[in-house]
Amino acid sequence: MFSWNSRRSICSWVMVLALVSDFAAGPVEAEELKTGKVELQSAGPITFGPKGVLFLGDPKAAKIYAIETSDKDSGPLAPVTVGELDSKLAALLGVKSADVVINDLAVNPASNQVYLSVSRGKGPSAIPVVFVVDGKAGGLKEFSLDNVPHASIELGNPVAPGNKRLEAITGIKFVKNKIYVAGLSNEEFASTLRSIPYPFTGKVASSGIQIYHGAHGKFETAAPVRTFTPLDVNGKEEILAAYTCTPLVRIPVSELQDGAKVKGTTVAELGNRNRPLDIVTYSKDSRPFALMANSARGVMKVSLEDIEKIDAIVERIQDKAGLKYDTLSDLKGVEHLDKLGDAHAVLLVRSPKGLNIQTIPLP
Amino acid sequence: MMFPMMIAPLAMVFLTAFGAEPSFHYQPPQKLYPAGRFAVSGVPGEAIARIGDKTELKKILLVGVDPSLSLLGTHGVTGDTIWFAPRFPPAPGVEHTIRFDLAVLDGSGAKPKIWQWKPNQEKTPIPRVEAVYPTSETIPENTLRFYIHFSRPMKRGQSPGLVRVLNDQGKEVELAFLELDEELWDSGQTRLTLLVDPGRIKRGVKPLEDVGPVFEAGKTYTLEIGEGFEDEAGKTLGQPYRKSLKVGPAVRERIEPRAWKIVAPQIPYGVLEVHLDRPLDHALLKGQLKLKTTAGAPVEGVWQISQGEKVACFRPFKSWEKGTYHLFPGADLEDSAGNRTNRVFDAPGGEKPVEPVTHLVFTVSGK
Repeated sequence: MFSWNSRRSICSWVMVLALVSDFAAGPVEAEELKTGKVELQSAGPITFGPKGVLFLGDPKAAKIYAIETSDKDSGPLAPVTVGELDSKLAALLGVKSADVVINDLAVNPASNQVYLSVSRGKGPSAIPVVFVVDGKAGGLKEFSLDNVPHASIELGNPVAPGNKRLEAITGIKFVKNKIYVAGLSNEEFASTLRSIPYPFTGKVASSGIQIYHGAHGKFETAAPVRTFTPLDVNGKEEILAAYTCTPLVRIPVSELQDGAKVKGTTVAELGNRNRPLDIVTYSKDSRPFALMANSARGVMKVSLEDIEKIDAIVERIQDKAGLKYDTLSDLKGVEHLDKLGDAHAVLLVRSPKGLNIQTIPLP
Repeated sequence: MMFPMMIAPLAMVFLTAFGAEPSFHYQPPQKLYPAGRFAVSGVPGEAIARIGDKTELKKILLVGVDPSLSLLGTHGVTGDTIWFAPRFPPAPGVEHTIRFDLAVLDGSGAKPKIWQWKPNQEKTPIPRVEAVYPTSETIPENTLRFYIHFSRPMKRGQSPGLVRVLNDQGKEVELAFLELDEELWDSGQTRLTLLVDPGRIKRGVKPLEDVGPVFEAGKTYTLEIGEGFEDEAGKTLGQPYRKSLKVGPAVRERIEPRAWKIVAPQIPYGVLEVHLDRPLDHALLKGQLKLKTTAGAPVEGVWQISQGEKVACFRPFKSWEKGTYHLFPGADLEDSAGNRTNRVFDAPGGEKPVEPVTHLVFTVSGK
């Protein structure tokens, strides 16, 4: 177990920033992928592994798909800018802008191309579609799933169809040949983190997660992780998870064994009436940070430098506590974000005029 | 200068070669084009012969809901028809612009033909609110949950702004319902679950102390669902739905199955009636009441909830046998205020749940 009282060594945060951003480019066996049509029921969170493998969560089907995009030629890193994104998607999909839902945005690090997970419609027969953004032209094209090399794996015991099924998968990340999937199960601890080796072996290690939510003054197991990012703290793999009402929680990866009940360590409470939407980690001037978009509290730049020194929050707090952060006042309406290279972030921004994609230097 | 002068007459030839101008029609879905096709027929053979590649086809025939952007789809030529097969079925009620421009081929500057076309909205009735649970006229002050049943599958994301609670002055009760990350819809999106903010129900928590409860005993409120609430096809309710809610005292007692009255069936296909101690949660009742024989075999059948969720009736698929039966109230059964058989919803912290009655027994005597 990680000791909260251990003193941080001089090199510890150097380790953090050295390992925060990169996943190890281990072997990915494409032989396991079969070419054919990907029959999605819904398009939820997306992320990329190495060599252009797109991982897509389908919460209705409670499945994770690995899709070989063949998009691995890294062009020169250029800012991605798209205006009137919702209108353009609506025009391509043949619906009103109000009937387009962008469920996630992810950058393919092999090509620096931006991918979007989209729903055409808001009814029960909404159609899932994946788009690729042509950064230079500001154009959009569908990434066809009709005939692509892919594989899939089912998540056991997802939350039942109906009310909360779209929360069966709330986030997905790839680190060192494993996919981590957050969401709701039908287990005693509904909040679940799954660890899935990739290439798929059929194995899914599913762990129930308990956290102490300082703003509520109690332990919680029912609400899902909203967004998370892998974190390496002094050589230990962890997950930094954010929840609604904004506790930030460290979860040790080594404890994510199948059937385990894992207690996270709350290291920040960042305010109520808020939903964290997306989070990435990066280093700036050799110091580690997280950049987190929120529904009601703007974009936060959270310092991870002292993450080892923060005492776990184990008592009710009135407002905020833990990790220090700045709210970036010039960033409004950010709904999703991902890193573009090591020094930039691509943002999906909602303005009064509609949605657009912007690129900023990491702050 | 020579080129345009030579080409200009050609455009005229294209349009008049067969004595009729090209015409547009939408071809309904078939196996080869599952989302239908936008087809322009009667295109002169000379024009078709001049089409170089698909890039030119995209310029000749542009179909979009935005006049300047094409839908996703593929183009092709069959006989005298240039067609566009959209990737997705045209959305009902959304106007499409079909722009057909043969001048792309000859640079004649001849005006493109433009048609407007709107797929008929499905011949489905307009959506309506079929029921709101709890149905009882008076609800407890600490009511936790409402279910709205619609007649049609509805779109997500509409409840903020379109579902409101109004007080007896017609003023909106602010933040009456919990702001959820995802609205709670059933799989078919015909049932919406609304949760009253538990912070304004639970005793001793800040929101209740600061802003008070959503509902106050003795007062009357209106639950309103706005006329603009859309179904999946874009049809709206057309008129607001309103349900009056009289509010009675809070219910802060465990559900007590021992107080239920069971009226056992006395004929083979008779109905079992369970008269409950209070109105219980409509959705949970159907899944949380189980029947077994003395031997432990489940008794399958259909539950029907009536009398303001105070009576649950059960009709078995197979006829009743004479003998003793057991009725098991599930651990997740709740009343409309979230109370269960083993605990009160907002029991003070540290209060241990009690062991509720596990089952009730009744006899089918067949007299």
